[in-house]
Amino acid sequence: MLSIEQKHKIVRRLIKLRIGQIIINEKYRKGSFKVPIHLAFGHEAIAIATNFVRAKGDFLVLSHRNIQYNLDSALSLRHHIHEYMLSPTGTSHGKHGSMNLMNPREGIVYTSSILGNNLSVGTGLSLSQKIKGLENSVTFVVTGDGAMEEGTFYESIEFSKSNRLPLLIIIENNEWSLATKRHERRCNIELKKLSEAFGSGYSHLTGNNVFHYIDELQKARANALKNLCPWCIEVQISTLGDWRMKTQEHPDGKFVNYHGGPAPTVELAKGIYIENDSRDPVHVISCEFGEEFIRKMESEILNEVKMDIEI
Amino acid sequence: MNYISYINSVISDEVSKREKIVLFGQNISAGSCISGFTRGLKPGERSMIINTPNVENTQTGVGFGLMLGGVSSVFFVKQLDFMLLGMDHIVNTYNLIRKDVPKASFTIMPVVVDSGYEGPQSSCNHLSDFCSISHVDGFTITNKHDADYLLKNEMFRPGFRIISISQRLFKTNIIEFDKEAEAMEGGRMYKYLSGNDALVVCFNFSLPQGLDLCNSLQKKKIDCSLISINTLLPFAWDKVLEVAGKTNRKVIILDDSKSANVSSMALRCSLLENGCVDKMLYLKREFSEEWFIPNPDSFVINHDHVINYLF
Repeated sequence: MLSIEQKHKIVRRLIKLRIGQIIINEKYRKGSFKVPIHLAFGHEAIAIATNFVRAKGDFLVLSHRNIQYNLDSALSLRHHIHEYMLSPTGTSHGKHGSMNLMNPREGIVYTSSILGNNLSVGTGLSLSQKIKGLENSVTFVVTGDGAMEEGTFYESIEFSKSNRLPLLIIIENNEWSLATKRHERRCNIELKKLSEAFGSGYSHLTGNNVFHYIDELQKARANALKNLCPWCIEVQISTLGDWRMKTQEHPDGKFVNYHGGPAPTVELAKGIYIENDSRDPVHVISCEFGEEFIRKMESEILNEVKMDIEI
Repeated sequence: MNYISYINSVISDEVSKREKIVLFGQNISAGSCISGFTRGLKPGERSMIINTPNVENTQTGVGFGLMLGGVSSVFFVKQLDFMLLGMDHIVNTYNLIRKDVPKASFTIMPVVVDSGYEGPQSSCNHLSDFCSISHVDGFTITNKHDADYLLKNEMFRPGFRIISISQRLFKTNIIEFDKEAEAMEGGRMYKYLSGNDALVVCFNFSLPQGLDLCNSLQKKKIDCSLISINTLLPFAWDKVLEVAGKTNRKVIILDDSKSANVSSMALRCSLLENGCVDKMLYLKREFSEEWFIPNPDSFVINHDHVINYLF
């Protein structure tokens, strides 16, 4: 059970992550970065929860959309921005940029921009923990509903289960793979049944409540360790930042899903709320703590962040 | 002792000296143990031998994950062709992690199925293609001397490489030279014979053909120098050029690889550019439709043709 102080710290991290992304987006729109960035508005709750639940010695393995995990783990927004500018003062000394950004000091040991590639590397990391006798350590691998279509998703669960590895696979299911919705490109995959078929665990998270996610991830981590098996955690997510593009065919605007690049409709001047429903983790914490509390914290953090990056 | 038994004995010796390693692959401790390749391996304490499921892509990723986690491993593969499924990791994963100082080793040891009659999907003998695509270290084992050197010095050297063996040679007596072979370029090439009438340079697994040719020429009182190139990456050819200068400026290059992307071509160019040869024969596989039906897959050298052309 989290104390109120712990909850406040978590809320603070979540707001700070949202503000950091918005500032990066502003700079991105101004052309400050050459590296391609995949923002993760709407992904904050699962990222904060994962970083909170990770114990010392756990590994975290990421994919191309990794800002939500890396920025929350970074020393500061300044270090993160410097990394995107490929500066030696960046989080990873300017060596990884965006899509392969990792931070081994914080347990983020591998990040791949190739769909599905990180799953088997995560499996190997989990096996290395077993060989080294780190019996209380797990490896988290973050993937998506597009990458789970790759054969290696199936193979990695099979390998992990066969070798009794506590691998936690977080599937950020935003229903999109670039510009195609899930139902446009494939049949439905019932992940729960697939997990059952392998004898591995499964959790389904919805609602973007960071405290609920922490609770569920702690249970999943404990169960994976107890049963020595992989555990799939499917998280329903809406990647926010979509917009409407007016064309002759679509005078009212054609819906454009946000995948990567600057998000044209997200602005610092509009504040930290992007949607007014459970698709937005900021809205969800606002329902619990009240908008006044959130706005006050937003203002404090924004001042701190501005001093950090000198804007 | 035959080729595969000798290789198995050296591997057995090396793995027995090491603790906390992982040896993995399909059927590596079951059935024939890949025709004796991996029979009876007993690595040191806290090591694992894993008979894996058939998941080559994931197995390759697992090896890199183990390496990132600080655990050395060897992935034994029954057939080089199967490694095509692991190319994503050989290229993309390795490209990402190769710039860091490796904490452990990852070695892939595939069998090149060059014994013939297995059909079109068992005909890939071009290790050079696997290595050149991402400048991966790759080595072939052709005899007792290079087996000793490569398995003792490369198999567990921190970092990644591919060391392959030839199925065609499995049951043949392991080639052993009376005099100690002269290792050059850090064991990447060897000089086995020193004659002054011509130089024979062998690539891929063509050392047996090169040795046969030297023996035939010896009967005609023609003394040859014999060099085998054990690595697939192009490198400085100075040493070979130097020997060519002492062998009557006559050079015979043998390459049994079926690839169109071979480093023997680079040697040929280097010899010509530097004016090191008066007469040269470049003998390699000629592309043929017969490659795609079951066939003997043999690389036959017409000794009379060599003698008539060069002498």
